[in-house]
Amino acid sequence: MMNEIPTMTLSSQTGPGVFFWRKESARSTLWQWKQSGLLSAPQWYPAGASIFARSAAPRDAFLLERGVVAFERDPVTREKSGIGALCLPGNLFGHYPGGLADDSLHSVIALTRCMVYRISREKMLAALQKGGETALFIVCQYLHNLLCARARATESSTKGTKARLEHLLLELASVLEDRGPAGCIRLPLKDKELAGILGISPQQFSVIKKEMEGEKVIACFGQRNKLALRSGGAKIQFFKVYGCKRIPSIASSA
Amino acid sequence: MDLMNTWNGQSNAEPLSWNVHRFAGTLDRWRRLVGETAAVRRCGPETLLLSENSPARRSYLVEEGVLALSHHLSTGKQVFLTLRSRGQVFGHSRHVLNHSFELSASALTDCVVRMLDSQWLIDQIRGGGDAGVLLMEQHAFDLYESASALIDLIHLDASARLRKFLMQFAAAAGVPSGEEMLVKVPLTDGYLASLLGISPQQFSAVKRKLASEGKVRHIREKQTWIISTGHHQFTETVA
Repeated sequence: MMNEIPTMTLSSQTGPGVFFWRKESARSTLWQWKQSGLLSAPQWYPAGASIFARSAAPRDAFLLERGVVAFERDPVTREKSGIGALCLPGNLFGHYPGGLADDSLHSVIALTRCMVYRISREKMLAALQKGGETALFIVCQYLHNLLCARARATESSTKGTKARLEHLLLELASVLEDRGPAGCIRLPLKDKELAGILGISPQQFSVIKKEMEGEKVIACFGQRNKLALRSGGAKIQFFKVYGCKRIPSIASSA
Repeated sequence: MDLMNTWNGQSNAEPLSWNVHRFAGTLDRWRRLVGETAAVRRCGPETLLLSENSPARRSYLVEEGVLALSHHLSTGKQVFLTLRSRGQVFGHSRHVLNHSFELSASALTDCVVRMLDSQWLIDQIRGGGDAGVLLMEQHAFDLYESASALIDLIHLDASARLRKFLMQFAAAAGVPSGEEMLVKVPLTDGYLASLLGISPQQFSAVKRKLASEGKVRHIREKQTWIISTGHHQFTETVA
C-alpha cells in the first residue's frame, strides 16, 4: 500500500556539508522512506555476506538502515583490495540499470551485520506515475544520493589523503555500532581496503599512516590491530576485525 | 571476467559501459512533455552552459551533442563528473534540492539544448506521469555509474581511464560500435588532461602508451581519435 508522505525536508538544506553522511539526516531519510509504504520487510545480512553478486545485479533499489556495505570488484592483485566505495545508512544502492558491460559491474557485500530494505522498481515507477509528494521524494532521494557520490568523488581533489582518512574514520565511528575489547569500535576494514576506498596504494597508505602517527593524529598499537584517532579533542579507538569471510547471499528477515 | 583482459582487447565483450542508447527514446518522451515552447539554444565546443552564476531555476534538456558536467574547485581546477547527451536533463538539482554543490556544464561538441524551468520540472513530478519516471531512470543510471566510476578511479590507470572516456564519448556522440571507432573530439589535449585529472605531461605519456599498445590513435590535425575495440589492434605507432 502506497502512502502519501509529508512534504520532504531536503529542500531547506544548503551548504557543501549536506552531502556528507550525518546520523540525523540518515534517520530523517529512513523515516520518510518508511512513510512511503514502498519498503519491503527488513532483511538482515551477516558480516561478509554477499547482498548481490556482480553477475546478478538487481533492478530493484536497496535502502540501508543499519551497518556498512561495500561495492566491490574482484581484487586486481592479492595486495590490492577490490573494494572501491562504501554505502552508509540512509543511502540507496542496487538499481542496476541494465545493459552495462561486465567491467562496469560491481558486487555488494555486507561489511558488518546489515539491515536492508528492498524497494521494488515497479512500485517506485507506479508511485512516480501517480505523482504527489512521494514522487518528488523519490526523485529527490536519487538526486541527493547522486550528489553525495559526486561530493565523495570530488573530495579526493579538494582534500589531502590524511584529511580524507580522518574523515572516513570519523564517519565509520558514528556508523559502526559493534564494540570490541574495552569498548573499541570494531573496524571491519584492512589497511589495503582503507587504501582502496581512499584511492591510494597500500604502500602509500603505510606512508600516510606513519606520517599521521608522527603527527600524533593516530596511534597504532596491540600488534597493530588497534587504532586510535585523535580528532577535535576526542580520542576514538578502533579494533580492526580481520578476516571478514565472504559468504554467499543469505538474508534473514528475523 | 578478468578486468585486464577486457582492456587488453582480448575479450569478446563490448567494452562499452556507458550505454547512451538507453536514453535515445527518452528525448521523444521529454519532447512530448516539454512541447515546442521551451527556448532552444545552439552552442559550439567549450561553451560554458552552466556555471555558479547561472540562474538557479534554469535546467536543460539535451537534444543534440555531448556535454561534460564538472565541479570547479576554488583552485581553478575542475573535476570531471559525467557526460550528458541526447535525452538527458541537467542543471535541475540546484533548484530541486536547493544545494550549493556547484556544477558547471560545458559543451564538448556542437550542441542543441532546450532550456527548462526547474520549477516546471518539480510541478511535473508532483503532477504524476512521465517526468518523474524519466528523471528517476536517469538518476538511477548515474548513481550506479558513479559507484563504478569511483572503483575505476582506484583500479584503472590513466590510460585505461582515457580509453574508457573516449568509448563513453563515442557512445554519447552516437558513433556506431565496431572494431575501429572514429571519434571526432574537438578538445585540446590540455582540456582532456584536466577532465581526467592528470597533467599535460602525463597525458602525452598516456597517449604514447595507448598508441604503442595499438589501442588508441590520435590524429591531431583532424581532431579525431581512433579506438580499437575487440581483437583488432593497430600495428603502427602514431605519435
